[in-house]
Amino acid sequence: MNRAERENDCSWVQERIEAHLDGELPEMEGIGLEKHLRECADCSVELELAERVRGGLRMLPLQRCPDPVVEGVYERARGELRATRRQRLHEWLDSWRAPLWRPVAAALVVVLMIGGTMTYQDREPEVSPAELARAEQQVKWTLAYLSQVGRRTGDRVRDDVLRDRVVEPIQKSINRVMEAETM
Amino acid sequence: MMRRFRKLCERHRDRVYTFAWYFLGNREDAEDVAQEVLIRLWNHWREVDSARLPAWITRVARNACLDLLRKRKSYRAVVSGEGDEEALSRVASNGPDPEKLAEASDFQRQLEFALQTLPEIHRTVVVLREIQGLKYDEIAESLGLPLNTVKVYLHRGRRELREQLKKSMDDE
Repeated sequence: MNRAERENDCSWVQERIEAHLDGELPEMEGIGLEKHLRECADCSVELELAERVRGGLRMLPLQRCPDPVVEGVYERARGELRATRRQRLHEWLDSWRAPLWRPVAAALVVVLMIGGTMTYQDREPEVSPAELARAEQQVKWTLAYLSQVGRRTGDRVRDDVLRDRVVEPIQKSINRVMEAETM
Repeated sequence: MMRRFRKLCERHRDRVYTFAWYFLGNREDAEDVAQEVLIRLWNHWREVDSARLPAWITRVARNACLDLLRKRKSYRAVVSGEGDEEALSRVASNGPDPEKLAEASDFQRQLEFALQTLPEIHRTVVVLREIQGLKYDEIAESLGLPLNTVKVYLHRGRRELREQLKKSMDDE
């Protein structure tokens, strides 16, 4: 289709009306289209309607998003934020709790032991005379018992070890030597 | 954190709602979509580059609208026992019937009705460009389309609106 034919073709023009309205047609096409519009009543009506449509669209109002819609979102966001913070706190506490309780308990026991020892070292024993006398008696019995055990042990050593294994063998040897010399 | 999110919401709430309103053609659906988009904004606003946030929001809003239409389509298919293609064709037009269109009292109301008859992508571009006043490059970024394709869809959309309005005028 040559230029003259295009300018007489209504469908060619009507396909380009929108681009023409937006000023996006190449210059030569724009000139040809305007020439056709001046001569063609149908296409002029079409252009008029296109302008009306574009203008009408641009006049349509922006809609205000209702507050309850946004409030619902804020409420949900706040709830999630609270839940996340609670979860993070629990995780933080858990991360401290697990590895710490054992050393903390051990340290506590050591501190109590040291404290208790120091407390009892500084204090004078409170003992009644009767308890003291009983303790002295127990000590005497214990010493007497140990002495008895020692004496018995000594006797046994003397009788079972020294007499049987040292004194008697030596005596027998001397006797044998003496008997040999006298013969 | 909540204060910064509120600021973002205040900046974008009407943009999302307006898009959903003109895309879906009714208030209840627009409210549902707006709420869903703002909740997604709450979940992702820290990850999205602030310079790209408007495009991100537009993309999420459009996807939310399409999801809603898909859900409605499958619901209709289940309720009416229609086959998939039948249900799809009904939802694809998803707008008023021509009688309703002809009854619309004023030109802008007719335009609103006629918008619902456009193919989804043409409707999206027309709403973003002509009603919401976005620039071509913003629309291209939001929809992941080349700039020239955006212009072609816009012109086709307006032309289809023109055809639709002529039809309704002829019916009157």
